[in-house]
Amino acid sequence: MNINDYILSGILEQYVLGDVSPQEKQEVECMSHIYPEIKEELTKVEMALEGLAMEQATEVPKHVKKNIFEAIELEESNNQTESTNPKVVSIKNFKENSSTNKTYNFKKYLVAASILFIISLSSLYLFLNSAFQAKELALNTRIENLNLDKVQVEENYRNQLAALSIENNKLYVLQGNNKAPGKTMVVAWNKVTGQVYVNNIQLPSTPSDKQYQLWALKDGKPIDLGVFNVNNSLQNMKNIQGAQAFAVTLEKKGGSPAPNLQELYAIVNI
Amino acid sequence: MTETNTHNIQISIAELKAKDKKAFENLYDKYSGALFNIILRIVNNQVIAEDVLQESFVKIWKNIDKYDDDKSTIFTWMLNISRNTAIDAARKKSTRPTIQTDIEDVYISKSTTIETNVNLIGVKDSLKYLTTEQSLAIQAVYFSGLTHDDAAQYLNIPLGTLKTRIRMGLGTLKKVFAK
Repeated sequence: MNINDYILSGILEQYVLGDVSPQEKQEVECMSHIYPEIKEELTKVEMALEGLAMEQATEVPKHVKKNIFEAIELEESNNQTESTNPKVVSIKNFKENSSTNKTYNFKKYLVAASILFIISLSSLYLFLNSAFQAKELALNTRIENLNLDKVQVEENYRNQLAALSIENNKLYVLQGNNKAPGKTMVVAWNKVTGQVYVNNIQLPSTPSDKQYQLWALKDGKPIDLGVFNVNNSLQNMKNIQGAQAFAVTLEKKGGSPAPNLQELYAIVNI
Repeated sequence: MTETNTHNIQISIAELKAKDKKAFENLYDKYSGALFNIILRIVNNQVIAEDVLQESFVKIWKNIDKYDDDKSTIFTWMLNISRNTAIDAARKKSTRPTIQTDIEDVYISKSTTIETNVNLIGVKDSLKYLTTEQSLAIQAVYFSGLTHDDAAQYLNIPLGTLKTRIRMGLGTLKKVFAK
């Protein structure tokens, strides 16, 4: 992982100046949390700009300080009144509208319609009965097969549900960075067993020679969790214990031994 | 209050988070001048700048529990609050944040006279270590509230060039301040 390239990209300066998207903000915070080198560089940038600002300080008129501390006092006393006076919530009463239903005399039409209905139903029955009998056998066979499939599907779902059950798992929604703005994917991680699943991948589809690769970051080192495809199904990744972040990069098909930070698509801190 | 003693004020994050007024006063004494300078450059108006500084410090007080010292220094956090408040105020005033035009005249060369020039217009030491281009780039994004995109457009240079100049300039400043 080329931390230096990341530092050289200028993103840290933009972060300190507040000129980043929410995704980029999360990314920088995540990266600096994981990599001491990035954190150190970030602090240096912050100190440089702070030093510059301190040097250029302009004297503030005395009354401003007084106003600020008065405003804070006011703020404090307001807060206290607010907490002792619970807000009154009004409840709207709804009146039921009573509507008069007009009644019509349907009887004549009802009798005629019923007779027609019964006649058509009987003839339909007679007509279809023979066809049904012929199909019955085939259908029974299919039902048996479907039942077998159903058992299999239920089994699969049970396994998937167990893998995703709330007690053992945490779900992490990864937000795409500027390479995949507004796109998300889900990583489910079982901290006890170390099982990792990805699901609901909305990242942009990949060229045929590339694949997304999931990484766990642990003690400052990226660990390969395998590649995955862009689809909606639950995909089982490699197990990991003690991960501190999950990250996704675009790599050559089959994956790379080390992530290419220039192709980082999403990262989430744990 | 002089610059040298404000630098030495110790800030206790724990006390700030406990809403200790004395700690907040220290915070104000240390940083209000630096923030006021930046706000002033963004809004370009003394009265509005005072209002913005007040609004910013009230926000800082109200939101101090949201500050995470893992993520940034207290100054960066306060700076972002102040800058955003100033940029909003400048928009309301319906004047675009503008770069003080005189900065172009300021950093002409690295000649021996520069110190005098710099002192004359109140810009202090560290910027003299930078080239004109670096200084302009840093001032555009840092003191004028412009986004990197807008600053690049304003200075009529590609975004990549702007970023490089900021990086190089900060690289120099880092050495100056990493004493």
